[in-house]
Amino acid sequence: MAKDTKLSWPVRIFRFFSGYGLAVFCLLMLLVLTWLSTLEQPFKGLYEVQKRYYDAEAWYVVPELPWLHLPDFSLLGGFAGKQIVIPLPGAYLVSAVLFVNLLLGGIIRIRKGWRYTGVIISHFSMVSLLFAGFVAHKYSKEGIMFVMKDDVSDYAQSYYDYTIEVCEIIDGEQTAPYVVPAEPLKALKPEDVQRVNLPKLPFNLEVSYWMRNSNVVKAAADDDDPLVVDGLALQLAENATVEEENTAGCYIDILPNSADGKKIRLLLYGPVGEAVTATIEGKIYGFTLVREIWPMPFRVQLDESVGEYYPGTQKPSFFMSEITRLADSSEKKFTIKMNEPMRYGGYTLYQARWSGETERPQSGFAIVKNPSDQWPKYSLYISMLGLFIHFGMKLIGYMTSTSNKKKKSADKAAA
Amino acid sequence: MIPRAIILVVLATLAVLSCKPREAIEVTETRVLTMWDTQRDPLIAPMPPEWRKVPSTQHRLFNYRFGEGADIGEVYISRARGGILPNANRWMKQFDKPEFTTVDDLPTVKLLNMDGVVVSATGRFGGGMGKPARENAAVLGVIAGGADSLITVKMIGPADLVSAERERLLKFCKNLRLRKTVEARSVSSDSEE
Repeated sequence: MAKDTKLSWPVRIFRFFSGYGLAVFCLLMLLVLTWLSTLEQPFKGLYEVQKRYYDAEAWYVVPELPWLHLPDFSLLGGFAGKQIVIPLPGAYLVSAVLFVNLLLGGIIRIRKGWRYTGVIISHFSMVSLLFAGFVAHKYSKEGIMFVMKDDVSDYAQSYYDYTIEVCEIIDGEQTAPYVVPAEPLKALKPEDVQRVNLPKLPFNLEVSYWMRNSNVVKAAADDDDPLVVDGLALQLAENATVEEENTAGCYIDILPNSADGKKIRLLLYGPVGEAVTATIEGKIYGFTLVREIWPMPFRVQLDESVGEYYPGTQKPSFFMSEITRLADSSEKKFTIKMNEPMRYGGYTLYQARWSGETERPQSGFAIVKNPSDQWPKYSLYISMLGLFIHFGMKLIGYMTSTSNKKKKSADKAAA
Repeated sequence: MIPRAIILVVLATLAVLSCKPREAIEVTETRVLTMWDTQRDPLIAPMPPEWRKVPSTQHRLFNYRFGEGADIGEVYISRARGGILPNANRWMKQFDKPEFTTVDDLPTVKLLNMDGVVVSATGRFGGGMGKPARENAAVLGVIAGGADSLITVKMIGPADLVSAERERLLKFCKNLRLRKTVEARSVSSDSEE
């Protein structure tokens, strides 16, 4: 066998990326990242931890845990009480490397032959499982739809992501809004200024002082401070551990296209949820900072909503909803219970919340659209098949060799 | 040599990516209207383009501003209780004006298919509801409904501004309407009773 030093660089790179060593490293790293992120979750919150450890943008992560701080000894001088910095690769990057490793090593480089059929099938299932994870991460969407008993709803709202909606208001009613997407907005920091071009409207926007969590404070209406709008100003707040509790806020400057148009500044605050207006070229436009609205291709009518709380708490121990799904002039009744969702047109509706204190009981349905929703299940079936073939063949081989040995020893004894 | 070259290329790519200037977002598509847009407010309030809508508050269902700088006026729609006369007199008291004994002589304007009483006063606003006292101010408002459930549309601000906005306010009151679904719901609940 040729020594590694004699191999060409492409072959060495191929061997590195398809090697067992890398596979073991990736699996161990995923184990460590899962463990650390679970430990960090009570301090940072689920959303923050997912973002730091598992996002595609998180190339590396530095765990921030109380026990990862140096002791407060004076001997340590300036390092006393400081966080120990252990940079680790992000889980997305590790998964991507593991995907490449399994593809190259487990499918391409592996010895071929009928004996290895089961192992190759199992490796393929793991590759497809990782691919399903990638598709879910990239293309799945999740929101929540709240419906009160006897009401109908046709939209869900994002749990966390805010969008800015701009619409014309005609005769008091809003028209279809232009939506500034959540992705670029959530990446903004208070010091950033983001330009938004609206070619179909007579103005563009500049978003500034984006605050992931903010409060509105009162100020004198005639205050000259540019950050005071109609007697209100935004104040940056510390991020909440539970991401849903964060209330985003920002300022927008409306920049009219006409030469004589004057810049108008508005303050947008997430919890308001209704439009503030500005008049441009004689037309009224509404501007709203709102958790992303997600129109559904069907309506949900809540016929019955039943639940119970654990004694002395506000935590539901059980809930169930009877709904009518209204779509394309067809109606169908469903019962949605814990772990029994409704699936329709690529959407899955799980009951996630229930509230009985309101005037009428209310159900909250988590809606997920994930193109790879069922892929992990199929991957596991494939894996099961591969392992069944592999171990089946091993068993048959063992039984055959044992029987041959017995036969041989019986023949010897007879001879 | 090759690893160094690879490292350099990776570092250079990272440096270029991290220095990339923020690009403008272009938005050309609209979202379809949902019940979030069309069913949230039971009231439809077509406002004049000279006003601007600001966030509502606990006591203000709809909240507007007009004017600029220190000279701004406010218009807001609220729910109230206690009858038209006591509410009209509360407004008079804020301006230190004599109370009405009856509202029968006051002008009226249609407000949500009801006869709304038009109340106005000019002079020194004595302050209240978190607002400081102010000279040369005015109130112009419309109160409609029964004793248990009133709707009020109130404009308050500098006297000349309020006077200039009078016609717009009265037109605004006339144009207020309930959403059809709300009307249908109230009719069906009436018939059930």
